[in-house]
This record gives sequence, C-alpha cells and structure tokens, in this order.
Amino acid sequence: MQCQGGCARQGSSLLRSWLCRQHATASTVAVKHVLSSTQGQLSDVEVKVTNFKKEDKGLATLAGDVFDVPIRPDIVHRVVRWQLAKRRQGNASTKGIHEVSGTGRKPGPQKGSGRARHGSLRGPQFRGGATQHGPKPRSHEIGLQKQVRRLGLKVALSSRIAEGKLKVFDTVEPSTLKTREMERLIADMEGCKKVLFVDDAENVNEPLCRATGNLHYINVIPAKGLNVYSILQHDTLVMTLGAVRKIEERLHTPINR
Amino acid sequence: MRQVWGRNAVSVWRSLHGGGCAYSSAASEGGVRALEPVEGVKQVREKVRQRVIPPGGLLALNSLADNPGSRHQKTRLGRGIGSGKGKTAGRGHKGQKARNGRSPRLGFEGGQTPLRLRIPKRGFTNNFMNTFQEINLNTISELAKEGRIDPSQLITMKTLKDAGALGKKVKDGVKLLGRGAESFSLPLQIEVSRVSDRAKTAIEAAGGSVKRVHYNHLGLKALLTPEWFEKKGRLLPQPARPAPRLRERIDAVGRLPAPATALPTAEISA
Repeated sequence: MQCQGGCARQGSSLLRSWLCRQHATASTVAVKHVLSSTQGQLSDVEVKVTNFKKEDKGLATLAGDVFDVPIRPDIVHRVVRWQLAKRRQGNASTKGIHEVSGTGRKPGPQKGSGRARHGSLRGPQFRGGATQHGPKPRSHEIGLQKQVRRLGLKVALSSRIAEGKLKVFDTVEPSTLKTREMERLIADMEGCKKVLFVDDAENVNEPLCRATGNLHYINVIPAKGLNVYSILQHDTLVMTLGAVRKIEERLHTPINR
Repeated sequence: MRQVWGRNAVSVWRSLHGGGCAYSSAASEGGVRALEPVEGVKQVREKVRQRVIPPGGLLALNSLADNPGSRHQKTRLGRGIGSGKGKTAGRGHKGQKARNGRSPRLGFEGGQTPLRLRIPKRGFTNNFMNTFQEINLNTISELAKEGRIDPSQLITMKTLKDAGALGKKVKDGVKLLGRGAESFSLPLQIEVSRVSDRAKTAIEAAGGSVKRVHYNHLGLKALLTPEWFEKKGRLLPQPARPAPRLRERIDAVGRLPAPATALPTAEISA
C-alpha cells in the first residue's frame, strides 16, 4: 500500500501505511499497535483459547474488572519500586568510630604541641578512620497499600491484553521435552522476545520447565507467583485458562484485613 | 470516558515518541507533507498520537514514572554553594541557634517573661461537659434530596450516621442547628440530643416534630454501632435515664435499638 500524494483521503492512507509498516502478523491473538478507544471501561474481554499446536479451543471471557482497567503507569511504577526495594539484601555496612580498629587513646596533649587537637586517630577526617553516617545493614522494604498492589497487577494484565500480548492456552504442556522444539514454537509466535508462562498447578509443569530451562528468554511461574515486575520483564504473557481463573478468583477475594 | 486516560499515560507516550510521532515519520517516508492540513487529517493524527502503543509496550520498565509532584525531594543542607544551603546551611553565623544539639527550650524568650506567663489564667475545664456533633437543616435537606435519608421515616442519630452526615466520631450526641432554616420545608420526625430554637421553630413550621432524646456514652455506642455488641456476644444495654440536672434539657430517654417509629407525644416524659 503506497502513500498517495495529494489524494483527498490523505489522513486515512497515511495511517494505513504506517500501520502496514508495523509487522502486523496473523498470530493467534493479533498484536495491536493502536490502543482501542474502549480500553479501560471495565468491560469483559473475549480471548481465543489455543495452545502450542495452534488449535482453536474456543473463546474465553476474561473479567473486565481485572483485565480491562484503565492503564496507570504511575501505579505500576509504585508497585515495581516496592518489589525491587523489598528484595534488596541491604547488606551494605561501614564502620563507625567505635568499630574501627584502633585505640581510643588521645594522640597528644590538648594544648602546647602546636598541632591540631585530636581525641582519636580514627575520626572521619583521618586516613583509616571511621565513616560518618555510612550505610548499615538494614531492610530497604517500603510499605505499599494492598489495594495498590492489587491494582498494579490488574493494570499490568490489562496492558498486556490491550497490546494483544496475552495469550490463553488450555494447557502449557509441550509435546516433547526438546528445547529445539520449544525454540521453534516460540519463534512461530509472532512478536515474542521474552515469554512468561503462567501455569495454574501448584508445582509448575515439569516437561515445560525441562524444555524451556535452557532458554534465557522463557520463564515459567505458577499462578500464585504472578507479579507486576515479572509481567513487565517479559513482553508476552502466556497463561493457562486455569491460571486465568485462579488469578480472577484471587483478585475478586476481598483483601484480608 | 476520556477521563480514564491519566494525563501521565498520554504524556509518557508523547515523550517517548518525542517530536516525531510515528504518524509524521510515515508522512516523511512516503514523501508526503500535509502542507494544508485537512481537518480529517488533523483528527486522525490526534487520534493516532494519543493511542499509539510504543514499541516497548504500554508499560515499559524504562519509562515508568510516578505522577509529577508525588515525590518531593528533601533539601540536603551543607552540600555546596550551588544548592543555596551550603556552609552555614541556613543557620547564619555563630550563636546558640547555630550549634548542634543546643537551642533554648520552646517558649523561652531569652529571659523576657514569656507570653504564657504574661497572660493571666482563666477559668476551669468542665469534665462533665457535653459536646455535640452539629448538623444543620440545610444538610438534612440536601441528604433528603440526594436520597440518602428518607424524610418520611423517623430520623434518628443512627440514620444520620449511616447516611454519612456525622463523620466517624459522634461526640456526646447530635445537635440540630438552624442554618438553612428559611428554606426548610420538610415535615420531619427527628430525634436528636439537642436542638437550637431556630431549628425547632423551622421544623415545626414545616409540620414536623423534634424530640430531644438522651443517651449516655454506652447508650450512644449501642445506638450507633450495635454490631460491636453482637461481635462481643453481649446484649444491648438498657437505655439509661439522665441525671436530674439534664432533665430540663431533654424530652425523652433514648430507645435502644434505634427506633423506627416516632414517640407518641403522650409518652414523652423526662
């Protein structure tokens, strides 16, 4: 589709050409490049259920209050900041004047020597001396309201749906344990650079873990491990239908006070 | 519902796209420059600009930010000339106030008799004083208009609290005051702790009635939060009679649980 210079319908042709230049492909869920104007209305979302073999397993309705919330980058920023802060080890440590090795004796008389007065040879101004107000091992955890954490997860899921990067599989069990096969399957899935598989079982699918273990761009987590940072690290999210329902159930349960 | 789009979402994407949005790059690529923008083109451009999904996705990790103004940088003192708070760090030069860990106690005025001693003492604190939560007639009219209270039913302090008119803490009761008395015309049946003359006149002129009822602290708690008693497995308490000195200020002992029908006038006795 060429850009028609000077044609009356310039606008739509320019839009069309730009859209065509994007690598829009016919995948099981088309990756979107323009956000729908109806996004964020809390309306239920219909997605196709498929699997590795690209079979069509029908449609699934995803709850609108979980998968179609307005996109809030600020909420997600807060949740990611919270997640990264709480995972810090916080082991940085320095020695204060009481901890630095060395005697506490006064180096010389207060007056009469002609030199500056000192009480200790390990003060912060000295070579080999203490660090003033330096870091000590501490927790860097910050608090974040449970409602905000919950909303962050909803926003992350909604954004993946809005981009068309959330795929729902009926099962994530691969047909073989071969990594080469998995590599080919992922290469077939258009627009996937890093994929996060979310399984609904208590322990993640063993064959899937085996097949994807050596691929750095694929990660597998159980449904209870779904979190905003992991979703953002991967551009595509593949969930089983069971996992979707588990997440919906979790997000519909009132927060325990 | 355009409002759902946070300003931030749009501004983040606009900044990502920078000066050249995908639309304009397409225009230059195709060798077409919209020299005289047709209105249709402008609208499409706006639409595309606002809803384009950046290549990294809507929520790319390198473009997340909190809302502007939500995080405030604190001033770090003593960090150089350029900060404006270097060297003396806002303390001026020398003196007791410039020292670390030493400054005169609060209220000290350098030896001059401080204000709190210059002013004479006055009065006493009445430990038995009752403070009432105020509610005006105009608030009640508004609540009735919004449908948060039903003016045809008896209005008690509990209905007012449930409608959200009293806030979280109701002190010793509720006093009905007369702001909005001129335009008040609901024939209400209302039971509160106290009422001002103007409010009472306005309600009776409209054809309603006001009863001043007495609740002690326990009784008020039982009236407003009966679920607390149920959770503890206790029965609601008996309504307590008022002290003799309060009898002339009230019309009746409050009823527990919150009553649904008004007191017949004959039964009212302090």
